[in-house]
Amino acid sequence: MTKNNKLIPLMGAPERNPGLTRREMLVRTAVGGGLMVGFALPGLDKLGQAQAATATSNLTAWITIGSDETVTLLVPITEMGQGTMTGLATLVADQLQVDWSKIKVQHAPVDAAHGGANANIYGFRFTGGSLGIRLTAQMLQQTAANARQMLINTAALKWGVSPSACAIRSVQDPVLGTITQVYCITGTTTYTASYGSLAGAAAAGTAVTNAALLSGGKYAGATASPPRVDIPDKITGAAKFGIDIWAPGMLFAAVKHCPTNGGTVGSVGSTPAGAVAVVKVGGNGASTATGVVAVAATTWDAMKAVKALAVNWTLPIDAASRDTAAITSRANTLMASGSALTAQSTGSVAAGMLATGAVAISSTYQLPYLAHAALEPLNCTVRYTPATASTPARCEVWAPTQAPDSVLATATSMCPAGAVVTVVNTLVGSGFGRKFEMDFIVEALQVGLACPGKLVKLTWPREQDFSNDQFRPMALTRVTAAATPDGTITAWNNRIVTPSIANQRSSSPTTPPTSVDSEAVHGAVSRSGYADAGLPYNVPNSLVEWVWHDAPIRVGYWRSVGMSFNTFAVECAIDELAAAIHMDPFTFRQKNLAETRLGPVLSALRTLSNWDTTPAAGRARGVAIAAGFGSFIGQVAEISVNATTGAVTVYRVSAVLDCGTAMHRDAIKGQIEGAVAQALSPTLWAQQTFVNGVAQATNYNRYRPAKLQDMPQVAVQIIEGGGLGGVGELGMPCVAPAIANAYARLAAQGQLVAGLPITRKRSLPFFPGTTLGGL
Amino acid sequence: MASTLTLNVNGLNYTATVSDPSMPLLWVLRDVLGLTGTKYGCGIEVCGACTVLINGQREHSCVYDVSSAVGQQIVTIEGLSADADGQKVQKAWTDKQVPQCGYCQPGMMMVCTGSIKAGHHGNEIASDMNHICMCGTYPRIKAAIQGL
Repeated sequence: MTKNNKLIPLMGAPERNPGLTRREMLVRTAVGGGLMVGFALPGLDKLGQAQAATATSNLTAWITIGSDETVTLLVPITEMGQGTMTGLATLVADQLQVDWSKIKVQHAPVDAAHGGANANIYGFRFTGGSLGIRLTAQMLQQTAANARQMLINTAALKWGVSPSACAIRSVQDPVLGTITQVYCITGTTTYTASYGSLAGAAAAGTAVTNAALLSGGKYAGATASPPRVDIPDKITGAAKFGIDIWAPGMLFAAVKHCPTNGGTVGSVGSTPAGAVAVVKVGGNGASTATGVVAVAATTWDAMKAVKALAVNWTLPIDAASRDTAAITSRANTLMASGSALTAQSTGSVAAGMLATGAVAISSTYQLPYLAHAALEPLNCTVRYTPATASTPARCEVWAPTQAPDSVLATATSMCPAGAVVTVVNTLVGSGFGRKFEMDFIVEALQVGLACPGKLVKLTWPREQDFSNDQFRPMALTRVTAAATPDGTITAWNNRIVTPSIANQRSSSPTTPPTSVDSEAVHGAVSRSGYADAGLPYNVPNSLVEWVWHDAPIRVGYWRSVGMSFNTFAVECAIDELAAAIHMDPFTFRQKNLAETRLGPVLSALRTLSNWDTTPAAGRARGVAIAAGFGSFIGQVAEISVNATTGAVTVYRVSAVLDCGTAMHRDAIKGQIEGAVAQALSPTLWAQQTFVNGVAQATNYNRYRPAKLQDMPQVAVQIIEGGGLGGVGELGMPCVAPAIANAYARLAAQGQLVAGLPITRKRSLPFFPGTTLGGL
Repeated sequence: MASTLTLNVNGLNYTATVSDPSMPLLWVLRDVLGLTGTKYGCGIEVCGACTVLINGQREHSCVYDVSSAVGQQIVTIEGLSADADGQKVQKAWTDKQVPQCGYCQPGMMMVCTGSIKAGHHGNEIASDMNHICMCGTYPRIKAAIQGL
């Protein structure tokens, strides 16, 4: 059973939003990083790149066909586990009608032909926002159709027949297995030629730009997904991540930053034994360096040397405000009296609160900073070759990056004028948003430039990776809302205190910001103004406010970004409202849905999660829903709480999602399973905290990830509601509120969750179901 | 002080010069020998990404002195395809489509192989797999080891 794949809808290209979206911020940041210019890639080493098939021909910028009949797709999306390489390959295999065994996928070269406006409509090649498939599927599907037509035209020309007399078919080759050939019929004669035999002439022939798409392929959207293209190398050790760049005689480097967040390098002691060089890095030059790097014969030697290196750090004057207790206290002050920017205002909240029979709740939720904790530590490899009388300087960069165009721009701006800059986009050992940043790239370039002629790999020791993250922002968020006993939400006030990623990224930040950071309210405001995500409910009387928190801790994009805290607050508050009017949480959600595609999701989830059956003794279920990344999801968690220890056990998470056309069902399922696992950690155990600027979680032993033994059963059901939505971040936002809502339903606890990780408890002045005279 | 050692890795003898005989095996494999399949994740025996087999036993190479590995039979992910148990693990990982980013999987597969060599099956293997996968491939790992 296959699905018609002919329509990759135009709506896959996300709509522009009136606010400054994350994507636009990404683009602005990249452009702000320097002029992006394309470079040819003369003699780019194959280091870190997959071997190409012999005698390959570039039919389009994105597709090469080898004499061995393999088709290689070059993708402008970084593979970091999400499966985009495989998802995109299904479209190409279907348009070329090539057997899956002949499909190979690599990251595209980082150059003008595969970056900027050629990479996507934003004019900046990046991986994030759950946009990989949405930004590139249509383009790559079309380019594959074009390649097919070029092969057909080439065959027709060869035999002097009309292309309409030609078609393609699969045949069995005794050596190569299933291959695809063009066949042309004229009179009683049938000519045949394989793709591989035609590819050279086709590449040299006339390009086709708008070939008709084939429908009804075998792979895209298939019920039984084809196997992932990246797995064979990942089970043999052959897969090369950024950290695996290696050549004999290369050098290795390790960094340390000021233990106090925001500190800079004062004076540095003598070069320790075992190090061949010490380099100040970060900042805008040596005077404001934020770290020191030791370069040595191995990473171990470099780590030992940098540890031994004496540094007089200059502490930031605001060290005392880089402190979790101070930040929390400041957040409470801002919640009470900070000036807010209005993200959404409809009707009258005051009037809604006073609606006849309305019952009100008011709940405040506190969420901490989170680390990305990607298992491949930050790293980057550079080789700077100075110019000679006859050759220009060369800067070569190998980067596990989510933003290859930014790496190219950064390297171009840092390397000597006129240097030939090449960037290789390696595999990424998980990123979650952290590998979008340039800090580790800048440091590696500084080290490489200080070691001319040498290949040097900079690795951040794990402790540096945890302590110097660009963290998921903390948030303090309060929902005050009311509903009438018939289940109608009559008032909705959400006040969100959180730092601004956009403001910190800006090259000219406004303090305080004068416009709403769309990520700060991501998932908390209705979708009319924010096409990619929205508050799922009708709230005719609403006020959603953002109060900027001025904490100086660096923040960044973390899987699902603002929805990671906003969906938590919204979905916990919705459950509290439902409880206050004694209504079933599913029914209450259904009744107030603004996002109509969540209706079928909720219905299917009710069945999948066995919602209407009684859980085993001591267990409870909780539900949460979200509209985000162009997709829709609902999740139910079934949990118990140990009465003695308070430890939460999660038995099962049921998830129903509508991501529109499901390109590769197994990868989608994997993304939801993985998001559940990743979300368990900050829901139940992990957070980053600071004491006088010093990060307290410095390794996985102090930042507990889920392990195999913690993993609940995960059931995933996919609904295809049309269009094309994102999946990478979709599974994240609902896990914590579903667990928290289950926690609240366990009568023995009798307390709601007031924040994450879920250890905190509170008693509420308004709970349960206190009728208010007005607010 | 620098010393030159001979290591047997995946059936081949390698000569390695290291600055310090207490250097962890992980860094000798990765940086001196260029066998980069074995991964650095935490350096403190928590994540398991650096797991190798030494004489068939699961060991964290991030804290295993290279001098102690001299004269031992070291197997890394690069040697898994030549090991009968390793082949079973590779097939199970393929059948269940386990890896996402793949960074933890060398360690996962080495500990699974070592567990099989210790005579463990199914749930016994699961209890040995106390490793970190930040992508959350655990449901598939569970499925993959059920038949082993």
